[in-house]
Amino acid sequence: MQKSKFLTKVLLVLLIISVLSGALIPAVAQDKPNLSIVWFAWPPCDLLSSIVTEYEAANVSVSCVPIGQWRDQIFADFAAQGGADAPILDSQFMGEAVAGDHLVELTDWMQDNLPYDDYNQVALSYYAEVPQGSGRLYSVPMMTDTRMLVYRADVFEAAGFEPPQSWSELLEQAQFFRDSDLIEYGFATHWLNDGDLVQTAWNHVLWSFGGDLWDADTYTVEGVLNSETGVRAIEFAKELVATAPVGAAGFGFDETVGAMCNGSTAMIEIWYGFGPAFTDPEGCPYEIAFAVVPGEDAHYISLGGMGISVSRYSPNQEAALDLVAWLQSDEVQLEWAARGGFPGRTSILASDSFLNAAPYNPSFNEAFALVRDFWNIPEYAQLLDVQGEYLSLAISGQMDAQEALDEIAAEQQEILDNAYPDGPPQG
Amino acid sequence: MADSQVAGRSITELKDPLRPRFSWFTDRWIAISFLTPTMALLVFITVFPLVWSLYLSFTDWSVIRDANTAPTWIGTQNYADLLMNRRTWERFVVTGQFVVPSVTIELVLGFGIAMLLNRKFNGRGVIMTMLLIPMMLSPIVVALFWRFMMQGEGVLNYYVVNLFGSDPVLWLTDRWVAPWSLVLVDVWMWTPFMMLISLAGLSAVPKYLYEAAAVDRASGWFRFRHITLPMVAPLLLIAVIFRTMDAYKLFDQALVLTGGGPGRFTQTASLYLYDLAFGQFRTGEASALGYIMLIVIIALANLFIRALNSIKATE
Repeated sequence: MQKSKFLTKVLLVLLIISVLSGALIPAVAQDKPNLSIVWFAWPPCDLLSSIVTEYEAANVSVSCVPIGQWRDQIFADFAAQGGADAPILDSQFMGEAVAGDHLVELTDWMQDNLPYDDYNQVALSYYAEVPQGSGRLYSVPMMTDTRMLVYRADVFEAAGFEPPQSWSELLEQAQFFRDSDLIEYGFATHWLNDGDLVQTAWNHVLWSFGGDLWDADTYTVEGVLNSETGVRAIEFAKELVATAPVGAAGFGFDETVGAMCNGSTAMIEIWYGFGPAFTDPEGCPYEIAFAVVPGEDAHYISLGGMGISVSRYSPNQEAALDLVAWLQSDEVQLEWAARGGFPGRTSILASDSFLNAAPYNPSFNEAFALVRDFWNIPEYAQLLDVQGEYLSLAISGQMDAQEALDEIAAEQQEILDNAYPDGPPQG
Repeated sequence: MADSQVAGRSITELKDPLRPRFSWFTDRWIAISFLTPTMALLVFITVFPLVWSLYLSFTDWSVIRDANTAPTWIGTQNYADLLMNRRTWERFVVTGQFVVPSVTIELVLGFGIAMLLNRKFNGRGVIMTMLLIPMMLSPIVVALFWRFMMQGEGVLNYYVVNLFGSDPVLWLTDRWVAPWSLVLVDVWMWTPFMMLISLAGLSAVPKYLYEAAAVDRASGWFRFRHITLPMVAPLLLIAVIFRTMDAYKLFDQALVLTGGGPGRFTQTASLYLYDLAFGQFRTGEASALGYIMLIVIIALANLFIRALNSIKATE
């Protein structure tokens, strides 16, 4: 009986403590609003998580989700009219997000609160402006990014090569390395059909060969994508895959970084945002150098990076805007640049703080001047899905290139025709 | 005569003190008060979503595009579109190509292992425990470590190249191999389930039947064919029903291992549903596909149950 009474008292005390702590903790935390940011898992997201701990006006949490679930997470949150206060959306998601009225328009706010003229206009147009050319802004460039060529300087020196100046030269070098005793494989990148991996790896090959994904003025895919140039770009990619490690058609980001850092591959191509992975001497113990991705008949590089927006469903929109303003301040932008981020402001991109921050940074501004993006319209996800399906098969040699492009063109055209029966939207 | 009084209250009142105050709280009300929270929860999390999604399947609503507008009724258009779309049928074929070999191999292997384990020997408990480990793991974890093993330069290819002198196998990126990789992982994970059920069935077979057969000098095959199999068959069929329904819903392993690729050669009906619902946010169409899948699995389950009943009837 005594024991039972004692246990009852202990439980009662524990209950009182838990109730009081539950009541008191929010009271303390209520001084600051809670804000959340959602991005995908990669080094810049980890960096952002670290930087926001210095923000004193709110408790900020950063959620770094797997890239395959990134878009799904954001839009599922929109559907539930909740989620992160400040989502970071890929440039191609913007059209869909704005069409659904899920984002706060930032046009006036940016001009009043941020150094508007200092932003890289290309970044501003691709990341923030919907529709493009309208002048209406829905995000602030958070992470400018494009693709870089990462190569083994020691192996290149041994072979007497300079970084390639064209895709054809890159292929010749990759084939040389594959067949030589200097290193096992020539070239690798992420050809996996997940998110937009295979598309962003291949699109700039197509553009540089003179082809295009569609006619953006008439919303025409048939006859544009499935051209001789398109076939040539796929055949070229197949030859590149043949110089890569086994199973390269299924490579994502990790495997691509791994191909360089396990010493097996002479060249890889990946986003600048992954740069820190190659400058860590423990994780990547090789003599590594960086260059701008080459062109061919033309010179384009796939656009990466993205802007930070404010969700229409955030209960703390003002606080979220304050956070964005803080992130864009000179002080934080310089820190962002110094610690491996890629700012959207030209003054920061030109600063010593940025240029000296990493060995790959000096080539960034040259590369970013060559960026190009793909369909920034609400049907983006459907178009991407179709392209990824057939492209991955064709590049891995499991489908004829012409057949794959014909299938993509036919299905994408059907999607566009159904969505825009009266032709492209005006204005 | 009136009740005798104690401190102004009747004896009857003191004997049954609750009656006057809670006389309205009958057994019926007690039952209702206990059932109401459960029923409310059930309606809220099961019945309402089911009815709402059924309604949405007859609309062209998108949770992203039309979040602030009412769904537009389009009748059976979604069902017609899906059933006339070759992609839908391809996804069901992919699902069938996964379910049939997976469940068949698991049944044969599981039953075979159960036959081997259905006797007493040293270390039986340890072996059984080890065999049961795969089915106790999370499907996502299983898929992740198989993905690492199946990479181009993974451990599976190490053995393929070094032991068999063969070229590396593209386990997850070859359109002909990838579906079988999914089957392999599923078999590894779920054969123990079949083994467990089979073992339960085998241990329930009365020993005297075997003793009688031995007296009659019945062969091993005869005993298996006419005693073991008929006695275990109902339980095996139940295991097959469970595994078929589970394999038919395959999602997590396929998402992690292949993501539905290469192309869409491993995109099962569940992955297609996910893509429609959360990739393209075509909510109405996704709801319709969900109901088509439900109808198919109900039909399949009914076939199995009929088979089960006919087996029981012949016993």
